[in-house]
Amino acid sequence: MIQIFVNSFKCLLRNKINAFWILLFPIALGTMFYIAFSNLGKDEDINPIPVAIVCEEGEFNDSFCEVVDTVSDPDGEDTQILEPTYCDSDEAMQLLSTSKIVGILTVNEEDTKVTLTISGNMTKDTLNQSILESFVNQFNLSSTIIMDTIKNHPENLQTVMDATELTYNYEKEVKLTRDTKADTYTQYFYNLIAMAALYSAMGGVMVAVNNQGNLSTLAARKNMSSTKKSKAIVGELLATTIFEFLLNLIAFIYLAFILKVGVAERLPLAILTLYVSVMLGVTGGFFLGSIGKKGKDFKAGMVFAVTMPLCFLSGLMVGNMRIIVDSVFPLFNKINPAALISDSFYCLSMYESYTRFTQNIITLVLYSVVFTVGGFLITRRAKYASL
Amino acid sequence: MQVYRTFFKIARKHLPQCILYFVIFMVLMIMMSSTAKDTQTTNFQAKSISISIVDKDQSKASQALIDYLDSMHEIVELRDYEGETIQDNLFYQNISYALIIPEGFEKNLLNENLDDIVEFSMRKDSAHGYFINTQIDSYLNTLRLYLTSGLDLSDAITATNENIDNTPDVTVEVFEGKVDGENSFMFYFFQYYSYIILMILVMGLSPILVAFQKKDLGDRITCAATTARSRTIQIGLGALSYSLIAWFLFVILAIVWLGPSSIFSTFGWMILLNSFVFTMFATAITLFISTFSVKDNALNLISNILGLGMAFMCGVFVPQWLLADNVLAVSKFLPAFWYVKIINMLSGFSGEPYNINLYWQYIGIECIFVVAAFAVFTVASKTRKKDSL
Repeated sequence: MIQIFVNSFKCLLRNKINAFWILLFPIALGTMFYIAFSNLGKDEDINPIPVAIVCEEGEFNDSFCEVVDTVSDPDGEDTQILEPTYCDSDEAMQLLSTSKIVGILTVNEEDTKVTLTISGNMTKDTLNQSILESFVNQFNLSSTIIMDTIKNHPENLQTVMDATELTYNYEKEVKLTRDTKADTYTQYFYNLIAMAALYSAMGGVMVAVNNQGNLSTLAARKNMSSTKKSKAIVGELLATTIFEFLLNLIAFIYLAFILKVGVAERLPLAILTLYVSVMLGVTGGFFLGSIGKKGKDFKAGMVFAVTMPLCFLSGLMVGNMRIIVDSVFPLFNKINPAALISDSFYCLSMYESYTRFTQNIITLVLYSVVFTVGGFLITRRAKYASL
Repeated sequence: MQVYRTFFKIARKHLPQCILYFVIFMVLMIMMSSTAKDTQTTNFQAKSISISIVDKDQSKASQALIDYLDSMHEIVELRDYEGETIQDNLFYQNISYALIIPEGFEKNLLNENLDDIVEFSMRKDSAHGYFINTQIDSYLNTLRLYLTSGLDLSDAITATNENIDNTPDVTVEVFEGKVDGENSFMFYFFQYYSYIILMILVMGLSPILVAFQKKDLGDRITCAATTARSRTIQIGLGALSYSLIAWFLFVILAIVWLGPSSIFSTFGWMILLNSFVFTMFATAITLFISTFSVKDNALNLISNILGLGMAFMCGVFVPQWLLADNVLAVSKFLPAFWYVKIINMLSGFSGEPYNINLYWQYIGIECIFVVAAFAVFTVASKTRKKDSL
């Protein structure tokens, strides 16, 4: 058995082109993901919004400018919201038409309102336009209240004026996760790792094909030998798993420590996840390869046919796929191997509790056991009248 | 045309595999296009954000706050409101903000015990979350001021709502002609087509082409009277016919699925031409890859690197305007970039104004890529032939 293991490991090592592609695959794709996502998430980050402010002389104008000043040059921990340019309306229009600013705030001294003008061409800036709108609304609301109070309860005017000066922190943030670097885009890398691990099924298919006498000449010769078939297969499966695991590990280290994409939270457990995933891939490939009489080309095609949709459904191409699946068919996320793998990495970086992580890993191991046993049941005692 | 005929004989042998790929990709394509979100906005509307609310107070004031948020945003019901469920939904961007109104909210509001009166969770540094916070601020501020001015709770809520209704409208200036972006499904369909066709051709067509490169077979073919040029041309023609069939099948799928009226509209035709040119490019690249006679295992991985890599770098899965400038600077050297750019322009997704001259310019750039890729293929296949003898 040890001999079989060592020899098949040597075989795998010497097939350099194969090793090269297995290794290059996650590294190349990881790098491309990394480059492509380098700017993502920034659309969600809070950046000061460039605006033009068109003023008229007057008291209302002064109080508005005061507010603008506090949010455009805040002290301490407050976030800077605006990046104002004071100019006349023509100049402001010019800036808006060239998309240099997000909106124009015009102070209307007469009816004590501030109005907002935005560009219909800047559809991708809706969020900033909305933030501006809510900022303007808030100012207009306060001024209306003062007007209302003068009209309805003039005796309370001073109290209200004083109250406008007060600021409160109405909202308290509740953190739901561990302190982690992972953001929504990290999930693409979780899925990439899952896909690379599942593609090690290709190695499993080779083990199966190389042991079925009717599928390859190599297997026909091997079936002649006195070595027990189960022994040969176990040895080769082990060698393939370790070989594929090492290649995947190198790629994982590259993602975790060179690109630093935040997949390495709780490293030992992350590596365990990787190993279990590769094991699942190899045994799954072995199982798939054992079924039927089609040759290795078709079975390699089948690996792809199974892996690709599973990865798609766990979010390789569409970032929020997992939640979409969850709303339609929640059980599927619990049985889709790609989703289980990516969710294991996700749990490691997000949650203190190990419950969900352990469930995922146990399911993955169960899969491997079922696939191995299933593959054996199919291939055992195969006898050939003539090869 | 012996070589051309042989090409299709081999193709027939690979038929089950090809059908397998076609079925998978067609299914993927339909799934992708149907999950694509409709992101375009033609009129200004304050951005509607998906939020979840847990109301533990169940009072008049908490209901007023919920109604206010509901009037602007989409309130998403979750399966349950456990921490992990909320977090999963935040992380996978199903919701952008979760608001928890604790017990005693109304009491605290009336007693001016206002700090930390509500709790929330959001993604780290999320501008969406910040935006909702400003709105809650502005609502609670208004309500508080009305309460201070001497109104009771019900009147204060009514006054606040009236006041909010009376805020001046936002003026929208439109500077250039904008495209009416209906049929967004069609645009998504063809956006994903660029990824799908590349994968299909590399995985389905390459095995056929590689058959010609087998060592003994290749050497024997080279001995024949047919000239190398004629052979390359015939193989090229075979590949072209194959990809035309693939393209045609997808066009039929598009017609069946999206309806003939959208495909045979002006924009439909423009997109068809675009996808046709891109298919030519994908064919040329496949021909080029096949000259290296790669094994099936590697083919699977290569096609993914090419397909997924190009798709992510050129904005097929992630909108182009979200990609960093330096990424775009690189992806300009990939034809998929121009392919997607045309779709963005026609659909109005990116806000880039529609311009017929630009359209032809981009198509021209894609054609240059096609010619270049075919040129590289002929050179590569010629060099290989020399090596082998």
